[in-house]
Amino acid sequence: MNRWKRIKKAFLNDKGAIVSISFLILLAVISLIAPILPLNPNKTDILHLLEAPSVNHWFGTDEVGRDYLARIIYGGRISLVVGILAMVMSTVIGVSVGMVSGFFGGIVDSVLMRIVDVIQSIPWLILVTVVGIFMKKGLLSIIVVIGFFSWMEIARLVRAEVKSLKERDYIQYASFAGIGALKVICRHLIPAVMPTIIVAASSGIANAIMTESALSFLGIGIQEPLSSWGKLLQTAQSNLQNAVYMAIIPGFLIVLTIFAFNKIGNLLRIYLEPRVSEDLA
Amino acid sequence: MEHLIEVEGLYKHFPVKTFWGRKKGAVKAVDGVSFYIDKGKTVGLVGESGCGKSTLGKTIIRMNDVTAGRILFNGEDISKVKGRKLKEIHSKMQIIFQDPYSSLDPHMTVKDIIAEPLRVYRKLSEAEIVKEVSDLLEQVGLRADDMKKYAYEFSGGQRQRIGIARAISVKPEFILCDEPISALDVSIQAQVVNLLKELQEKYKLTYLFVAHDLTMVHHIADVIAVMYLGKIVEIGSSDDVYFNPKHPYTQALMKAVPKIEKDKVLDLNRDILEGDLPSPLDTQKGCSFCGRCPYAEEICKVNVPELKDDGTGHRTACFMHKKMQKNEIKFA
Repeated sequence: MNRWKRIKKAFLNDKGAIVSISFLILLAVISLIAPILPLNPNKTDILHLLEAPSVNHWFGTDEVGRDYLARIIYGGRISLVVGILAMVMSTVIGVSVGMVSGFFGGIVDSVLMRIVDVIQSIPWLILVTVVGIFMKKGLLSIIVVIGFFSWMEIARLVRAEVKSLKERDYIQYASFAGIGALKVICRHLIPAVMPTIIVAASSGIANAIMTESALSFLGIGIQEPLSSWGKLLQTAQSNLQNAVYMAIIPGFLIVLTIFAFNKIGNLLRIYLEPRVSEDLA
Repeated sequence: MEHLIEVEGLYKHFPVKTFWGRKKGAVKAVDGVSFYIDKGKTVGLVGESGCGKSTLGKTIIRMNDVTAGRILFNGEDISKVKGRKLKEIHSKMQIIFQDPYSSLDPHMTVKDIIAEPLRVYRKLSEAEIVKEVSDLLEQVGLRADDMKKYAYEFSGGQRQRIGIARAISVKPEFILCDEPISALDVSIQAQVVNLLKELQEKYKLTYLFVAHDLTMVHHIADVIAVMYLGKIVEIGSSDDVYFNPKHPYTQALMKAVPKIEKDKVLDLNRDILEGDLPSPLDTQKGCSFCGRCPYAEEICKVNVPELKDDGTGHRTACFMHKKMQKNEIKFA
């Protein structure tokens, strides 16, 4: 328990971490209460097209006169949901595959790693595009597609770490004392690879948000009238001369969100390492 | 005296494979070893790094599979047991590791580390476990409330005590001490050795004590076995081997121990064994030590010497030994 206290202390001492957490909490709260806010992301107003930010429309309006603040808030909901769920999916697959591969070794390891090689050798954009075309368009399929094609990196990292951990005396002792493979994995290996998983997961969110943007840009991502930050960024391109804010606002939010997730992941990684937390506290 | 452990012609080879998975050769870590350990006694196993002493120990407690040979534990062959039976055997044979850092999980509290084998072998309630662990901690010279701490909060010697507490938690009959003191400060080594001796008396434990410090082994062991390249080259009572080494290799090991003599500056470089341990991959004819032995003759390069008893239970595997006794060869 005192390890968690130390992590808390470390976070409170780091200004960047406080800003990151506050920003993410703010985003989460706004996303959650969006439906009860007096904003409609789909209401068009042909009298006010591409209007610059004003008192009526804080973030201005888009090319069909929709309130851009509402578009941004509803787009953020989608971006965050895609980022987090795709990350959860790729982390779960990646950690399981890496763990099994590294722990059992032998043929299981060879087969799993060759599968990883094959999937990784195909440029992911082509892969995702082809699969995206065949799947029913929608939020769920985007999450599944992104999650299912981004776990290989995590699998490799976890496998490498497990392979070296397996040679440690305490892991060997656990097997020696008659503890089953599943228990050894849950009790000894998962806590030991946790720092790696957290870093991979935090950059996984960032990557998923960016991948979703790229897919939306290609037209196989989020479909109208739904929107996401990536989608907004894409639409903004055609109006870059008249309305620069349409690109700047979502772009800025994407950068900030990715930065915040990475910052927190990095700090967690450092303080989950037991010996480091001792030295720095 | 009853033998607790009897090892008969034990082999442990690690296969070396080519890229295509074909067998290229084998590392002969343990190459035909026979000896026994009496109940309640300590056998010290010495030899330089890479000679297979740790592998021999780990094979005896069945942390490794056996390539060939038999291991009798209480008269029962355990060299091929598997599954539940092996688990049962492991509760009677425990291990203390060399490295006090990699032997304890840094993410666990001391209580969970010590209770790990307890939870497997004895069905105890949480309260009983706390009681048992605090009792064990006090027995190894730590405080009961240390159980809430993490392993990294302790020094090397204290960590080794935690490892000892874990080993004795399941009331084993036999403990493999795999170089338990080589990673510790000299001042701490004696404390740990004395703790091991104390526990041995209390619980009638039998030890196989692997080390490379001859003086320390002489202090703790009843019998000393000297290993060279997977084979035991000399075995006898602790005093015999320590004061009257017969195998040229043991003699070289003894000379390498710095001794303090009054008013003398010692030349530490005299009579130091030259060369390295040959690779255990190479198949060599004759005595494995003959390449480095100052007394080697033709026969040593052709035949493999067997362990021969000199009548007092002190056994040596050396052809030149008879000649040395008759003073045909003078020792340096």
